[in-house]
Amino acid sequence: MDANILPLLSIIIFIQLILAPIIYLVTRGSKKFGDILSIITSSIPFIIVLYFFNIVYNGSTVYEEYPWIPAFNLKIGFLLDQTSYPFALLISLMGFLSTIYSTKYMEHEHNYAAYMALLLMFNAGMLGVVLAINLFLLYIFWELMLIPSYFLIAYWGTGRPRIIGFKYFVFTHAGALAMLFGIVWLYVLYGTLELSQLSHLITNSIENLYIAILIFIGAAVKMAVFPFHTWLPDAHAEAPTPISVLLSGVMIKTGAYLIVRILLGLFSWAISLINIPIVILALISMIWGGVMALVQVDVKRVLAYSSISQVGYILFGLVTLSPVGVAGGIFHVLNHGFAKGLLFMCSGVLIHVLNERDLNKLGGLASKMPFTATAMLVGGLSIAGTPPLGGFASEWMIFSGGIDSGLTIYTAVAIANTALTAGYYLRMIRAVFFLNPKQDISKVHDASLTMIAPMSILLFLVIILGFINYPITTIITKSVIQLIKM
Amino acid sequence: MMVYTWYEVRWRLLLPYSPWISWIIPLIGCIFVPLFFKLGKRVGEAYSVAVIFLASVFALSMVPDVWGGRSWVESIPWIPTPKGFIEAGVLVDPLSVLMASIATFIGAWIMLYSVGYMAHEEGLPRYYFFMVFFIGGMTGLVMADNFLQLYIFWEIVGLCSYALIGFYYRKPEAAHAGIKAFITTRIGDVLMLVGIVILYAMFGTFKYSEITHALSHGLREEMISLPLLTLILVLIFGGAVGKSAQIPLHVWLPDAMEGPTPVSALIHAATMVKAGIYLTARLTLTVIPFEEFPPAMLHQWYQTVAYIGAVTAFFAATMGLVMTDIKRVIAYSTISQLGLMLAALGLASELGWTASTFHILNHSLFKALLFLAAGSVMHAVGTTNIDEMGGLARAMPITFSTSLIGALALAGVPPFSGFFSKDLIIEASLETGSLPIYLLITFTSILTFIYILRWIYKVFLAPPSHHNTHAHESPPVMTIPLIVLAAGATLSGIISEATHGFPEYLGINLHHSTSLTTLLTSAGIILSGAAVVYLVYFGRVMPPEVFRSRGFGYMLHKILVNRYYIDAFYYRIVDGFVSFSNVLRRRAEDGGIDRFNYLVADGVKGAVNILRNIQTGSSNINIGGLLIGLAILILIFLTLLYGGLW
Repeated sequence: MDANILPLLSIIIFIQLILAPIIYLVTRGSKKFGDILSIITSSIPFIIVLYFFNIVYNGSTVYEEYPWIPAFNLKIGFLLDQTSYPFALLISLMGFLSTIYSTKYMEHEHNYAAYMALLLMFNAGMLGVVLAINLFLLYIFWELMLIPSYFLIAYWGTGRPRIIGFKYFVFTHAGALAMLFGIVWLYVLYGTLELSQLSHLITNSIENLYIAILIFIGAAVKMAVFPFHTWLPDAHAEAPTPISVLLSGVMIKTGAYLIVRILLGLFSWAISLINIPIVILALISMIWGGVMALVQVDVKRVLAYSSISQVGYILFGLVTLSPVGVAGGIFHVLNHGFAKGLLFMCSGVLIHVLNERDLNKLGGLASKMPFTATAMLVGGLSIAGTPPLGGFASEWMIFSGGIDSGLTIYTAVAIANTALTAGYYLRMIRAVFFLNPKQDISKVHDASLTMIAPMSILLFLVIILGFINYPITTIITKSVIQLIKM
Repeated sequence: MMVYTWYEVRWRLLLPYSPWISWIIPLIGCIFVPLFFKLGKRVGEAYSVAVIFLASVFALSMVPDVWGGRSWVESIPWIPTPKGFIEAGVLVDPLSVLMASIATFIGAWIMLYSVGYMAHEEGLPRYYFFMVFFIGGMTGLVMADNFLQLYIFWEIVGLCSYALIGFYYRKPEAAHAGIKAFITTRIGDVLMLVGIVILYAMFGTFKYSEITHALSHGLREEMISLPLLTLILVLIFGGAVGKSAQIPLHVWLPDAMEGPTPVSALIHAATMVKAGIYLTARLTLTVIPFEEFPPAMLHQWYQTVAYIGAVTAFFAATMGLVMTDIKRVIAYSTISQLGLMLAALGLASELGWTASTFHILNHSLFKALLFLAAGSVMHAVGTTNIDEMGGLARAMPITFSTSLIGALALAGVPPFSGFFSKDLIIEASLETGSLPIYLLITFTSILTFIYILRWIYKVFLAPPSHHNTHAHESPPVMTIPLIVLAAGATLSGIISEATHGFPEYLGINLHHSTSLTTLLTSAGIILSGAAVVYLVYFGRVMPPEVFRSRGFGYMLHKILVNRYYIDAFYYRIVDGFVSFSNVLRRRAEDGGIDRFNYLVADGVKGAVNILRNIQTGSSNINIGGLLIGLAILILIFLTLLYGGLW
């Protein structure tokens, strides 16, 4: 399917990059026009991704390529196949929704126009990562997503944003360098970075094991796997809330994409050698994140540590190397993305309406904010793997994958950890919405429509994906069958 | 004029779709509850009650279809996986239809009762939403033909239970009890999920019937060992232990009484807590049927079930003796009765199985009745402490007489329903059980008699206390459900006994006549129970205050009131875990791993500051340094180039 009149895949990536400066200028002139323009811009990638649904669902792919640097055998091109589709869908939808959310949440912030422009560039970077056809391009987008997000954290963050932003930058960049080392090594060995060519070239050699480890480190830092996780609670908790939505809901999943696309797709031999240590890392992440989330007093830090824990589940599913487990891992990327995005948006409502995020100072809000309370309960329980919500639908697949691969004890620990997850979410919900209010909440009201609209879309998805998920699981299943070559 | 045959009428009424409709109606219907409440409180209430009555019509319509043990399965494709489609389906058999009918029919009367009981509460849309959602979930749970669907509904009902226990969300005890219930049952659910997932990983299916085939095939071909099968069954049974509040996961149910009383009646007496019993019954009926998996083979599993049930039954009954909260007495009674049902299932005989399912039905009727009666009393007197009640029999004649029926049914006094099912359980324990099981069941029954008549005495018959001078009978919307349930609790046993209706419905042919030992045991239970109740309460020959004032009685009372210190022990574990996590956060996370980052950063900064001193700006030093560097580079280059030759 490359006979499109319009280069739609390139539009997905570049429209936000190209329009970002224009939006900056327009928004400086009129916030209203700027907002409309940014919402439309951010919706275009999502619409295009949806447009390709049928093609991908039926097993075809969408492909575009253009010559770039012939001397290095490099092309510029994009591929939307069954593997990248779930990720692209997640990124484009969450980017769109958090843009809507930002127009209300960030309205009184300084330098709002620059914020909007950076937000769109950040979206574009993430989309580029999952659509790139070669590793060089992938790396470029990897950096492109890092830079705007650094500025977003460092300039609009709370607490000590400069230090935290710097910490975020250094950590992810160190990971990116490990990955770059691996990519260069690959180029030296095989003379190409095209994913389609590499898949025929990569052999079972010790060098490839090292390269796989290097790339895993890059992915692991991005996913905030224990012990590379300390940047995450700071960055995700202190970033402005719409950016937390994207960081926690989407960006850390690019690490999962790297694992799926490169490690499972190309280095299946190498990964089968090191999967047990990774499984153990994943388990430590999920338990450590859960234990830390249990004792946080800041709503956003609870959610941030919860992301560390959930990334453990995703990683666990992926490295079980069993088809069902990998499918579950990819599916959990979506479910966690939607649910965690929803939860961060809920925390944003608390911050926006009450200017309060301390669990010890909140309370009794259930009747004042029925929608937010429902959304937070549903999101939290989904992540805790409670049926019939989305999180369960992917978690049981992860678990059956684990047992499939003979990791029975590890899987039992992972399942037991869901009780801890439920524990810290219910603790948080009790502190925020139950009990007697600790401050005057008589004038408190629920979020405004601009914030409720994106939240209700996510709420709907979190609920519906629990039992009607065949459109997306079909795509994931096809992808896994190609990847694992059963 | 058109004349329809019964067959056409059935189709026009959608009755052939009952196995699906009966749970889809409430599940879809609950979504509209808040909307109807927007139209008015009365509209919302009427709608919610109507939805459940409609669902109960569909559920009850299946009774003739399955009469005599007929069963069938219907399924549709559901989730695609790399291993193929997972199907959603319903299993229609006497057990599932029995449970569905209990959930919807008793549920409907409890909903009606709610209209009166909850009339003055805030947050009614939330209440009715979760009640309707719960009934849909419970019906779906019992109709499911596979473990995945079962587990999904299993958690839905758990979620509803959490939300409804915490209905009075501003009350700290209620908020706490909700979490306690959710987490405690989740521990059981974790075990269950492990078991289910192992089955799925081994056989690639969640369906009961396919698992049965795969298991018997696997055992024959020695692909699965007997200990592993026992382990899987025990894991799945863990879910039942949590849901049905059996030792050691029983602690949540008494606290769950913080919820509104109709919730206690519906969820924590009649239906949800029966889900564990249902699951165990389902396992023994469908997944590991007696014919293919002789009980002797799975002896250990059956023993686990029997002992957990019997021990729980006994200990919960002892705690029921000393509780002073009107609902907690019956909550412990529920735990105890659920234990009896499990014990009966663990006897691994058709008789035990029949007795257990019969007790499910009877217990649902009389225990829902007792809870609703308790609610009626609380409504009237405004306290929950039975020591502050008394003398209500005259003021509340309907509540009193229906409570008495419920109490006598629970105590096992003929001709009320509890007598017949308890009789069957005792008989089954004599047939296949061991002596300890028989003794535990018998003593439990004596204790049951004592605590429930103590309850009746203290609430209705004791000398009145000053609190209830204004007590009056509840409105008809509350008393009519009481009367309906009382009629059920009176008739269900005797009708079944007269016509052998219940075994016939199940399609089980019981060739038994009640043995002399059973008769003597039953008589003994009633006589000894009655003697104690007379001596302690009515006759006040040996008043409880005297007994518990010193010595052994004092010790025993203290242990029982503190629930054997099990709750305290669990709280200590949880608190310990939280403080340990806090220590980890301070020492390991913030003070260790994260501090390490800053140490590295500071180290780099310090090193850079030292190195900065080299940058003097003097060209002599710079050129000198350049030359030294060049020399080193050349040396390295030469070393690398000729390294091999040296």
